[in-house]
Amino acid sequence: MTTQIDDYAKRPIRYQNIDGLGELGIGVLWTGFALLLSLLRTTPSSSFRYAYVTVLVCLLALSFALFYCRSALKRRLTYPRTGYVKYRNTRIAGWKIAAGMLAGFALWFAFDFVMRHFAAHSYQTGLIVWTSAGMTLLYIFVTRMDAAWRWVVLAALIAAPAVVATLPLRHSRLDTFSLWLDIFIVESLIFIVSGVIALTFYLRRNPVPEQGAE
Amino acid sequence: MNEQAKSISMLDRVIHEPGRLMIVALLSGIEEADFLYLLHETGLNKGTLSSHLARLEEAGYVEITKTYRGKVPQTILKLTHEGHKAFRQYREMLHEALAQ
Repeated sequence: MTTQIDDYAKRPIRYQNIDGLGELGIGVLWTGFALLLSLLRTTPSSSFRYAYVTVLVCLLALSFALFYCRSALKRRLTYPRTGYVKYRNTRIAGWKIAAGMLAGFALWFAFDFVMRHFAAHSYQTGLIVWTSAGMTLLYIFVTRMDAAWRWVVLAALIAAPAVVATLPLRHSRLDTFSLWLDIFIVESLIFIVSGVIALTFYLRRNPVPEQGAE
Repeated sequence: MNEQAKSISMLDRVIHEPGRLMIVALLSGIEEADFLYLLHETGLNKGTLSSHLARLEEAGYVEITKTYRGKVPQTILKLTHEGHKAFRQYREMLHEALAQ
């Protein structure tokens, strides 16, 4: 019985991504990031620092835009269908997100340092493996695997690096960074596809009630 | 009366009813929610949910605010401080009763 009570108490957390907007937002954000990196591939190496700042500024701008779009979509699609929920400690949650982002950057720099100094020969392979593992874990965390079809998406996420690596997408691929970028784009697109599927299912299963909330 | 039966008889009867327990458990982890959300998550019908909410409001466990979302009436529900305390105590007592 206590387990059932716990389950009810945790339902609002699962409700956050009931409409698939969470994974959709992440997919769009990462695709934008990957496209920015693709554009910066043409930037001269002399302007490397400037390029890093550009990516960061664009990423932040995209994050804010996505945050407001998500809120607007929640108000328009989710709240009229399955109800409105305000979560506790939103300020703390904001700090948690900021702390998570900082921890992410710290991990990235730590990975970069360790790989460059101790395993330079397998740097790009490590980058691909860790990025894919991170994306897969993020997908499990965001979606909580609340539907059977998500296992297919998870399998696609796991298989994506191997599949992309064997595809003759770029015959003149000279470095593994391009491969990493391709894999990153494909995995981001998988997030978007998954989000669209979840949103479609949600909209079909939950029509807007004819009368108001009560 | 044995200890377990005694512990169970001391449980808060306002919360102990399954429908109200679902409502309180759902509201315990969030700041607030609307009527439609509880309707969707509990699977209760409007009349039953309303009567449970009225009972919880009467006990001082839930705060009910009537408002509008655009032109649509919206009922916002929030677990009060007493509600959180009562739910916490209920869980502790239930845990103890089941452990005996």
